[in-house]
Amino acid sequence: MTAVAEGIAKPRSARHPLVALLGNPNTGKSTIFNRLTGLRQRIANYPGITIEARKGNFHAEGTTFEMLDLPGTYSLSATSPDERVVIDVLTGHGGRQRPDVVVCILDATNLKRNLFLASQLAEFNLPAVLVLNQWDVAKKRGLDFDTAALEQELGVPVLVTVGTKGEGIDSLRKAIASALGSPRRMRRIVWREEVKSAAETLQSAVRESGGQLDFAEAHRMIFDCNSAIKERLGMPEERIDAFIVEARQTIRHSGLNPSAAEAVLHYEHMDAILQRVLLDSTRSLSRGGDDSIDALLVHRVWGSLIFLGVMWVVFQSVYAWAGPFMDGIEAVSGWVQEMVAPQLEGMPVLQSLIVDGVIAGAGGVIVFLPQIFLLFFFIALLEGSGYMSRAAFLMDKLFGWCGLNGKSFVPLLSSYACAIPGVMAARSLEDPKARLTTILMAPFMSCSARLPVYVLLIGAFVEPVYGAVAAGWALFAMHLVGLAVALPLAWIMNRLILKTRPLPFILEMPSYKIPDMRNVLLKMWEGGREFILRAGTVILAFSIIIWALLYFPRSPHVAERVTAEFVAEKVAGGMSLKQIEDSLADPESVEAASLDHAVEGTYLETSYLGVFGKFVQPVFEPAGFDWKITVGVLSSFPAREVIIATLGIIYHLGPEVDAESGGLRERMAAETWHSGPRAGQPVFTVPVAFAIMVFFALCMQCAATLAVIGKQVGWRWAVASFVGMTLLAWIAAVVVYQVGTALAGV
Amino acid sequence: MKTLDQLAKNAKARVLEVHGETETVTRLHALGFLPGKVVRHRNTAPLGDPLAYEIEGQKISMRKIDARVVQIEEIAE
Repeated sequence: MTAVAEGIAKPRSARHPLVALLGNPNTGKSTIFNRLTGLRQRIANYPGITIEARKGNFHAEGTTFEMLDLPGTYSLSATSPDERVVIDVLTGHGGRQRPDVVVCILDATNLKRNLFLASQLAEFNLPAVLVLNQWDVAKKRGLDFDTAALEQELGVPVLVTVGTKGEGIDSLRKAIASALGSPRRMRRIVWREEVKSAAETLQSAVRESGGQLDFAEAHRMIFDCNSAIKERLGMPEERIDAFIVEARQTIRHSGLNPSAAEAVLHYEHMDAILQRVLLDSTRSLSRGGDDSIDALLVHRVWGSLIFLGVMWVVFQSVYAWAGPFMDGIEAVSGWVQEMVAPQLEGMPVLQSLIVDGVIAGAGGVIVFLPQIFLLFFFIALLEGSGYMSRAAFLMDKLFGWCGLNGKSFVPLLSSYACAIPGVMAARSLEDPKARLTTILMAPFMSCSARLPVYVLLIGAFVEPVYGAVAAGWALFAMHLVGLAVALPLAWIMNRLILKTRPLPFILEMPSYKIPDMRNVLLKMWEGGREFILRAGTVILAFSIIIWALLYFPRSPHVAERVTAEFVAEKVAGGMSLKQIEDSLADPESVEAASLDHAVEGTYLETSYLGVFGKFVQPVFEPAGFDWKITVGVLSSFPAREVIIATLGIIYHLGPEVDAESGGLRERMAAETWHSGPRAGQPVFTVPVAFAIMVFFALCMQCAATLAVIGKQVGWRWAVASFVGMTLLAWIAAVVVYQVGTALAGV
Repeated sequence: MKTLDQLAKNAKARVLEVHGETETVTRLHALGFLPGKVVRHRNTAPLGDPLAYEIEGQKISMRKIDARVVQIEEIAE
């Protein structure tokens, strides 16, 4: 997949030296990146996969550098396409610019494991700078290293930093600049002859088949089980496998276990070095403090209760605390509409396009920002403190069976408020398959936009018949429908569609720490900016298209015809023409409003979408939908909450109705079939009400979510999600209506 | 042969071999689950899975199915 490396290391005309930032997760790598680049950063776009690789610029010694923040990784073994990005960058795969300097961030408190990655990096023979971060914490724990000796042993500059306080960042800047001028490469392990010859044999075999493989890559293919770099050689997999088996055989004959050999040798090498540079080893690598916190936080009872409490806060923030901000944004957007509308008087098409299309659409994008900001704030806090991996630990069993994992919990929970921040939050899942599944399941969670639909229909058709308690249960049940469908669906998807093996769910539970506020705020900012830049334009385009479908053709004859009918009706009702004229002249009168609503309703009915709704109504017939419900459902595809306003317009009550509105409920209850076998019978029966609710529960009626999914995992999946959910919703609605009606008839 | 998932809570063991040719094995090796290293079972999730272990001064959680590939011999305290 050359596309993976696309956009990361694309040579530019005026090319800046490229610095790649490598390191384990939880080392404070992002903090260092943020310190170096500040706000001069952006997210590189890898088509099809959602890994975060941020780019930014910084200046040192008069030179502008481009810095690439690689995904955090424990090793260079690429077992997934995501991990392969790191190797693609280090090898300059596909003709990309190779990094001029690699900065490897090491956690000074866990140097042994961190040096393993550095030791693997040495094989790539790139100019390197090593950084011992979290130096203050290491000191506090009684660890001290002779960095000059370490520098001597490894052959490259070794610096110490405290990223959270910005200490050592200036020296790092200088070290990078001088590494560009006088590059130093890491001293490599002296491999046994057998390992060398195995790698060389593999290299020449690939070369003979027209491929290319450098020494480090050959290592990766021999030592890593199911290496993801195999597939990019463009050779049949069986042939490569045959070469690899042969190479591993060579190593086995030399008395090494080929699966463990690399790790064993690197660890031995680094252990020996560490012994020589460790100054103060009086205190053991104790994790006493963390263990007593964990004894509470992952405790069967207390841990679960605290978890529920934390998640309650996260959910409340997205569900409730964002509310006032969202109301504020809606008020501002309404105010702008009111300000702009009079300026465009006399140009009705342009007026409607700007006011109902562009401004409403832009408002509809910005309105998601409070939820995104709040969710990203909490996620950054949870990740920064070390609690996120504990949360995943607690929840994993609940999700593991269907191909998700413990990290799916937060995205799915926040999707109960809104799927957009939920889908975006899924990026914290490292396993691409679990991430994709989580993203595709997120829109099934019953978001807050579905609530008005439930309230309207349950209030109108369940509560009057079955009472308030039943209504409460019905509302509760509607919130579980999506989840009950999504989890088995995830299971099926993992078994039948995504046939790749799941990655093991092996997670570090890092030491607890106080989150770095700069990082937290930057994460929020980044989430919001990414949403606006990447999804915002798509959402806006959707809103304008839907506006056009609802607005046009808007023939002037419609208004004339409806007015004539209206007048005729009033005359038949006993009003004089003079009375009618007078009351219509007064815009505040009941007659004027009801004529307006009738005209609006007829415009909707004759709009492209209205005509289409009537046309496809037979499709929804088996679910018990008449054409009005069908038009309502279709017009809700950009955003499901629109159904209420659309029903208001269709039933000639105007768009200002809400879910609690008595007028709308009465009007719906009074609606009867005009023709067909059910002529004269009410349209809205209890089975119809449930069929509509189930349809809304399962259908992907949200252009914004679709746009975010498209941007995160590719449009192929967005389309699949849209088609799949719509089909599923239709089937479920039909089943509910047919079974419900049959039961009611018994 | 005893495997890591069978290690009792707070018990200690020495890693003998991480067995197999899967991604799990590659990952565990990278994290320091190597022959001779000492590992201690620290936490069990409320639903019995996953499990968390201390090894080389760090804590790593994994599912039982992954812990099963780590062959161990128990060490008395």
